Amino acid sequence: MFLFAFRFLFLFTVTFGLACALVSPASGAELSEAAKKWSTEGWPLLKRFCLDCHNADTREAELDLSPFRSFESLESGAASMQRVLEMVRFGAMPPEDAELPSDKDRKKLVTALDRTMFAVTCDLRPRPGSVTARRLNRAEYNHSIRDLFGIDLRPADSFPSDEVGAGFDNNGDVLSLSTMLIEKYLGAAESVSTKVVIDPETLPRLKEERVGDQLLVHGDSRAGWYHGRFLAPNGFAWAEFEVAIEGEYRLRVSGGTSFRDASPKTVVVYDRDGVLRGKQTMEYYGGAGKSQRYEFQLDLEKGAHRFYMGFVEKDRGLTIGKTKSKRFAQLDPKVIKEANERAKKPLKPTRRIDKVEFPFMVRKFAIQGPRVIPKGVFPPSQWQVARKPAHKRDGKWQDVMGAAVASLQPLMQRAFREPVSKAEVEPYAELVLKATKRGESYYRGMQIAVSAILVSPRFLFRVETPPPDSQREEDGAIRLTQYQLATRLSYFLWSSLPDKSLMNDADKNDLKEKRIEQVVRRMIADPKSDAMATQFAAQWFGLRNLNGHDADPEKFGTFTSSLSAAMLRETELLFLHVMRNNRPVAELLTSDYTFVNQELAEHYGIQGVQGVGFRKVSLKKLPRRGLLSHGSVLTLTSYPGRTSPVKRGKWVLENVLGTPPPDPPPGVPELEENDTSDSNASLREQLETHRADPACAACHRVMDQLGFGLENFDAIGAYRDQGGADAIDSSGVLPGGRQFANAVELSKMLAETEQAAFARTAVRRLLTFALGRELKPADRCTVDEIVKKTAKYNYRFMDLVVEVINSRSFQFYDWDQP
Amino acid sequence: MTGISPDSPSTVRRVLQCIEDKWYTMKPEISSKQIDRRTLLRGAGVALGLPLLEAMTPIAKSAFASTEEVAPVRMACVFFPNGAIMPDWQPQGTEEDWKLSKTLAPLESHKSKLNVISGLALDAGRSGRDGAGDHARCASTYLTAARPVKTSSNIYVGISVDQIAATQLIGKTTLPSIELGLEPSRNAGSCDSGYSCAYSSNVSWRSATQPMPKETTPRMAFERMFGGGQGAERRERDLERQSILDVVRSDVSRMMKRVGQTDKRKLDEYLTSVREIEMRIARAEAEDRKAMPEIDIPFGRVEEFRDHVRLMYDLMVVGFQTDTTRVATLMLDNAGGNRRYKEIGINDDHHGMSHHRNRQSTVDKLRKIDHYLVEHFSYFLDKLDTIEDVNGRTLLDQSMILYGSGISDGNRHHHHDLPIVLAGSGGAQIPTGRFIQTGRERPMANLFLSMLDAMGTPAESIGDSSGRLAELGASI
Repeated sequence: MFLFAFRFLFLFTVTFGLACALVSPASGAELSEAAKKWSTEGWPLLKRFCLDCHNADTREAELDLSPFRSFESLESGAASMQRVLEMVRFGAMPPEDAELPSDKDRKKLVTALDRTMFAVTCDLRPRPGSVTARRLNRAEYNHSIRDLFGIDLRPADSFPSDEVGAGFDNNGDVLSLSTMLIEKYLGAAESVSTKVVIDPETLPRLKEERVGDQLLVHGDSRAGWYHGRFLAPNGFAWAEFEVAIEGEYRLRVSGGTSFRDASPKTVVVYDRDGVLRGKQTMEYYGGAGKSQRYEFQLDLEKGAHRFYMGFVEKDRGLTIGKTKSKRFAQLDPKVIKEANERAKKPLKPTRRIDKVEFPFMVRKFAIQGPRVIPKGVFPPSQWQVARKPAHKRDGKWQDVMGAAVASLQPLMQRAFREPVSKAEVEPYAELVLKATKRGESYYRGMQIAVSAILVSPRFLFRVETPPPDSQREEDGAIRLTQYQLATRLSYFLWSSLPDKSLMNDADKNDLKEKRIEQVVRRMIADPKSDAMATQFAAQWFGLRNLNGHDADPEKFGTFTSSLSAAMLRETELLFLHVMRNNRPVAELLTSDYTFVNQELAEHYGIQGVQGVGFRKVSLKKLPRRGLLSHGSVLTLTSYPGRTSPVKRGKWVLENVLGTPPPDPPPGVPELEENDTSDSNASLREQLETHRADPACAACHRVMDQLGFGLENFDAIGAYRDQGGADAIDSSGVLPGGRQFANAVELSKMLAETEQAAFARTAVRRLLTFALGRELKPADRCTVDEIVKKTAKYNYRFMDLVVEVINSRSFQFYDWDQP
Repeated sequence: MTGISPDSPSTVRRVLQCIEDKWYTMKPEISSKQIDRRTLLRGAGVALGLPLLEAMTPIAKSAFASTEEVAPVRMACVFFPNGAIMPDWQPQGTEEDWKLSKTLAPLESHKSKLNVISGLALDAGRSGRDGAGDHARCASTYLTAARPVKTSSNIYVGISVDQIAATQLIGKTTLPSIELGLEPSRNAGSCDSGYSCAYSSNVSWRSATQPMPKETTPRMAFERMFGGGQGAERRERDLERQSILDVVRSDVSRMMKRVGQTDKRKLDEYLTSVREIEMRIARAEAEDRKAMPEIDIPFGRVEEFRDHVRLMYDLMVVGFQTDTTRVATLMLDNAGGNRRYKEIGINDDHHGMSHHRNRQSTVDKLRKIDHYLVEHFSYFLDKLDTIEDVNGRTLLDQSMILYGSGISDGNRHHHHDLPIVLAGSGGAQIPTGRFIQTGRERPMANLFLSMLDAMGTPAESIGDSSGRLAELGASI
């Protein structure tokens, strides 16, 4: 019984084959030929099957088709004609209760409409169309910041979500800008700028000393005047410091032996691990407030440090950095506790100190630094942003303007994605100057300038205007400059700004012809082209709806946010695999491999995958093939508690075949979910009654059949044989009598017989995303041409991308003069 | 609708809608409902911006004129480090018949409104058993007259005279006291022979263990006095934002000339938003200005000593004038400070020179510094004396301004016979125009007790006090 319903789908193949034959601009002769065909073949059929309702009097659905008798009126009515074409092709019109055309007549009408539409819209060279200035969306903002500074700060995650137009959130016409967003931009810019440039003056420096009575001491000791701490022969002292930033520190021990005639002794300094860090011979301290000094430098890590000081009679092969003292390495905590207790009661200074009992004196231990702040403390972007440092002399910053201009110019050129003159840099550099005049540091000034760059419209918007000397093409279109082309490329493939290599290519006027193809291949090989999956494919396939999808926790306890994330990633990875390996687009439907982590593998019943990382696995032994068996697609087209063959069928029509079904007529209730509705049998029955209504039948027979082919997957994409008490029947028939037994066969059949339709959908989606605008009737000419060009190798994905980029729509634009 | 789990987004939305509806139909007098709503919103896991009621409340400002009938008495204590060249400081003559010394000569025009007091001592500043660290003790005893515990961590000294007054004045003014300085504090680590840096960096102590951190940036001090808390940060950010927006606005104007109609509309959205933010900044600025006295305080740090010190004096004047506070302290430098007074041709550091060992050239330089600092102090008195208080007297008349150091002879670190000037009559309570010679070893703390009496904030004792300073002749 489904055979009849599927006659419409059968027509897809026919029409696409036809459109491809007609891609070069229609000539005058062809036009008159098309006009003749319309009046002899098209119009009579349209009149017979459609005009009963859609005439000047009845105007059903407010549509009067009578003017289309004349070929000329087709051009002005292109939009309504396109819709008529879709409805007839889809089978939604005429309705079941009207006179229905035979398969042959329907095919003839569709062919005539399609041919005519092509003839009237592609009569001239296709116009590239104009693109509205595009504000960076959240992903583009995040990626641009990441690639500009080399730090993935993701500031845009706190921005409101972007408006979606024509299926993507990079659509210039709908991306708006509110005051709130500008405030967010300001806040984000201020926060980013303090992270990519650090003001060294705000870094903590250490300058501390511990005098004799503040030193912690082991063993008996005496306090002399001027803070001398006299130690017993076996005693030692130590001090603790907190180092806030790594770097080179200067340490100083002041002290000496206690009496004049003593032989010189070696003062040794050990760190808390018991490693010898410094040593020097010391003589008599000199009496009164005098002392010998030993100064040395150490590279210290951030954190708590402790230094032990003691004296040894003889230096017997002590090696700095090598010699290790067990005593200090494993100092009894009791010793430390005791010393801390003793330190609470300062010793009374005395002049009477037995020089033999207390042969050594430590007066002071001091630490200072870091002298130079090591580069590692700064983010890598520090030197890229403050490329040319300014210096301070006599408390004043010198040559701030010069340094700021030299630093900001290259940064601005990358941020603004085009050459920036010195005069254009100066206002930004003046921000730095003003800041230093206010008493801020040069680096604080640079932070302010970076903030300004990040809220400039030249960063936030992609505006394409011709340079003053540019020439228009014959038809008035304007070719993108090399920088604009580089920018379109990078936001298309990376959702980010051009890298240095792309900017160099633009500098050298290299982005043309063969070279572009190489560039595109390089860009797709770059990990940054992940954005094609996360931004392009995720929106094409509606994967973002997964986020926030609620599966009924009673029925689907295994559906967690991590499983949902894994499902999304699986589809992204398959897409990337197909794109990067330049596989035919239909492999998305037939792949007998996929990408899973442990959680998803368990969900699919695949053994031996462990951990959170994804890997490629074979599906040969499982009844899963391609996208239509992905948990992501199957889940997002389900209700929380049950599958929806309708939604799944609609998803295939929209995203694979590129023929979105018309909206349901007003007043149609949604299918009620009840306790029995998750049983496969009753669901089919319910849908059967649903389709008894002729207003619904035409569309639903098509959609539901596709959906039922996927019934072996439950509402979160797990495989099942049983639906309730009954075995699942996922067989069906494609138009032209093409039968399938299950999802694997359905996918294979779609890939084989609807390959061109799928490729066409891919091209339409790619072009929409690449241009950031809704496609217009005239764009079908570009789409048709790309589909034709890539047919030879079965529409390999990278070929599609390359052809989109080589298209006139991508490289030119219509410009309305100010 | 059985299929939607209770926490699905649409459920939340519906609950919120209910709350919203209820809220809008509610009578405004049920003010507790506001809390309910907020709590509910938070409970639903949604952060909604509430009307900025708090933000819209006008900043409550202290009245510029005091509401009290009697003009209040104010107290300011100014500290300078490293002592002074005493022979050039102490005046000659008797209590009534005396001449200002060379160093104090800049105060000539105020001679009748001040007293120079000799013979005061800070015994707690002496080494005793604590050994070196006279500079740390110089500052920490200056207003506490108490012995600081020699430590770099568990600091302990005593409450200072200004804080005894401030504590009793809490609630009468916006700020009980302000603490100003010209050099940033170092409150961690040890600064002088094992004394915590807190000792050399602070003269004002809220309690024995709590130094009052001082403000060294005039703008920040101003904001603290008149801006109220976080306002300062916001204003500094606004200032930066304004300059950023100026720059990007010129970018957008340049772009506007080149783009077509559709793009122009997009850039217009940008421009409108930028303007709106600028207007908001301007509005906030206007609001602030209304609430602030007319005084021009630059943003950021002030590099020149001369400008810096005068701004700080100005702030104290305006603080007293607006009755924002009645108690102020100012440290011209941290104890043992080593500023180089290049603007008067002195390139050596102050502390280093103070150990002059009677070398004439060094002594001359130090005298020059002493004189220079007194000149600025005179500027302060000038200002105070030109402003009329509510009762017709000048601010100076209504004040007690202590000027001095915790060390007299910097070369030998003496803590007796300190250089002390007390200007103003504390509201005609202290006879002025005198050279009060107290003889040897009179505790500085006794002067503090007398000052506290005049402030109307008396204390039993402070530091090593042994009674009031009778010679001051305060008419309490």
